[in-house]
Amino acid sequence: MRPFIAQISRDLDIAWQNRQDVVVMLGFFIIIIALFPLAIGPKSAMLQSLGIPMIWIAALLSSLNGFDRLFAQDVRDGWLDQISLSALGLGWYAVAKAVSHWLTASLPLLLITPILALMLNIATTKLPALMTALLVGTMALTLLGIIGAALAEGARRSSALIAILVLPLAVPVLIFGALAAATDDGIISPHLMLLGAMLALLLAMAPLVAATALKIGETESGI
Amino acid sequence: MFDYLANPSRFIRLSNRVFMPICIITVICLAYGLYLGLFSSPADYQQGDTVRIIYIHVPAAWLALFGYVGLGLCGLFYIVWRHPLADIAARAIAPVGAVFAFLTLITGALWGKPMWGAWWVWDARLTSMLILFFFYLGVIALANGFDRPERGSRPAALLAMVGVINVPIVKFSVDWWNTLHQPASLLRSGGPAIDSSMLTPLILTLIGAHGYFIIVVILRMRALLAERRLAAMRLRPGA
Amino acid sequence: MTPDRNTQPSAPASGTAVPCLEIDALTVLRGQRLVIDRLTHRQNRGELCILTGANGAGKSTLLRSIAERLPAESGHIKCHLPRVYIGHADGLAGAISGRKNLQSWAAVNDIMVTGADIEQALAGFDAARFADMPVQLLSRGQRRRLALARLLLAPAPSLWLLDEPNTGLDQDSQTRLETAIAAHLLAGGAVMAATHIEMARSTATIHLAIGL
Repeated sequence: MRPFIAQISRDLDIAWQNRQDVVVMLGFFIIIIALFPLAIGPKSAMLQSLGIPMIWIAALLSSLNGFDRLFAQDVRDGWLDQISLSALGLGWYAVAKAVSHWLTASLPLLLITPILALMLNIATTKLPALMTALLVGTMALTLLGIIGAALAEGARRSSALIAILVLPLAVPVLIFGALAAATDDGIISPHLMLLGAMLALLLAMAPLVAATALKIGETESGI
Repeated sequence: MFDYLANPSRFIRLSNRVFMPICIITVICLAYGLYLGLFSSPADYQQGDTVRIIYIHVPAAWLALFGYVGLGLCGLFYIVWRHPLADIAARAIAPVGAVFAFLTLITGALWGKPMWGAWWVWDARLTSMLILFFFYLGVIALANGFDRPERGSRPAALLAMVGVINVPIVKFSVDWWNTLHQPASLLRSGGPAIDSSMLTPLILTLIGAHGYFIIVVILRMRALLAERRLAAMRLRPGA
Repeated sequence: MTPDRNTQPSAPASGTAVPCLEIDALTVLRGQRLVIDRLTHRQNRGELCILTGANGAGKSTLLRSIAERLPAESGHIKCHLPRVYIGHADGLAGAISGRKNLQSWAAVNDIMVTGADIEQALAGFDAARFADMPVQLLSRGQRRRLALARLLLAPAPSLWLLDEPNTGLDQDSQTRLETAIAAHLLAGGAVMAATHIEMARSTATIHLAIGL
């Protein structure tokens, strides 16, 4: 437990040193949202029904942000070598990375979603379902991103590559997430449960895949 | 059996022996099947002649799926048992499967235009096939995305395995999405519950397409093996 | 490639040899290139093994293989001691301080350290002065010293795998490294190091030539 927490606090420490990056990422999120009404027209009837899907797409794109650098810095520093010999192990390291990434990238998104919902005229009654679905969905997306980042570690165009790898895998999350957010079945809808099932599957799969990918990545770190 | 095949030269000898027979079967099946399908079998009473495209569309779809499962198996062999030919096989299969997936999409569009008046509809099967096509692209991009060419083999193998698990999940979610969103335009199943005059050409083209797939993959594997040998010879210190 | 040769180690002072590293017919490929060819090596506790060989001969590859960062094509490696690996890269995160780096390293390795232990480790390489600055602001040699300070936090006994440890070190720091190695060997640990620089040798030094 202690190694796990230590890795998370290390990553949070490092993220804190670069805390202005969070603002940039939030700005990206808001601008994407703002582009839709600009393209569609302010009073269009479409805008009402598009509000929730727009937030989902924007969340998807924003949560991919920074995945190409997720492991890259640790590999370059030689930290990954230390982790693979440590008590923590590559699997738990990947989970710790997912947690710290979610805290620094997805949580801010969740926090400003109510504001965005206001901008998009989404009914406040829909907000609890939306927030819950986003909560579970962003965790699932983060785990998918871990898989993508571990597989593409060391590749040439890793940010685009990670997007190509993760987005098709993210289709079920998007489908069920959007359904769970927009549903009239209340917060705990069947869609949310399916979303939760996917999160559970990813929790089991992602650390394993990431650890295997990181272990066999023969990157010569350092100079 | 797989250990037996692990030796590249043995594989080449074996594939040499089966190559001609498979070629012959493929040509016969495809030629006869396409003749029956495109000319001599009856047109569908509702769809007219456009239904004939299923003789290409269905085998293509089947092989796109079959190819991806094969890709996943190669990935498994490569990661778990480190079977040396598994990587070669995966790199041979991936583009072929991708092309079959693309062919499915194209023939689906060609079928759709006369049927529904649109070149593309977000039908559950076509959408699933589109995503399968993206999965293929992902594996190919990953395998070739590194500066050192062999570095991509293992991540791509892992990705193929992950993909095989996810393909059913994607299919399920797309079906769910489709039934919830559009009750209209469903692809009429050109399935086996049809007249034998349509079934025969379908089965023939199916077998022929399998044969074609195998031939192309064998040819590609031979080419890749030769490429690797060449590269290894270049790296050897000069005499 | 011709097989590597071991020179016979001179008998360790204590007289009882406890094996800590056993390598059997190790073969390692980098891509398609054969780098290590059926290497066999035995090392006991209290022994220092210096890897010699030209650049690119495979010294780093061997160390990384023992550190489980490279898969072996064939052969076995067995380690009876916990391993501490310091490669070309320092294993330090640039954005945080050296002290924090050492603390998190100890924590992920589940080593209980007090503040005093950290101070002692830093003092061992005279790194306390710059231990609170972000590592990315430090010089190469200073970073190396912080990386080496980890050795003094590692549980004893252990096997130290050092890849060019003295890069960028001044004379004083090199002496400190040699002192640390000597103390570590006396305490029953072992060291395998790839280094071009002459290190003061004790009687229990093996030379392992790679890639002739």
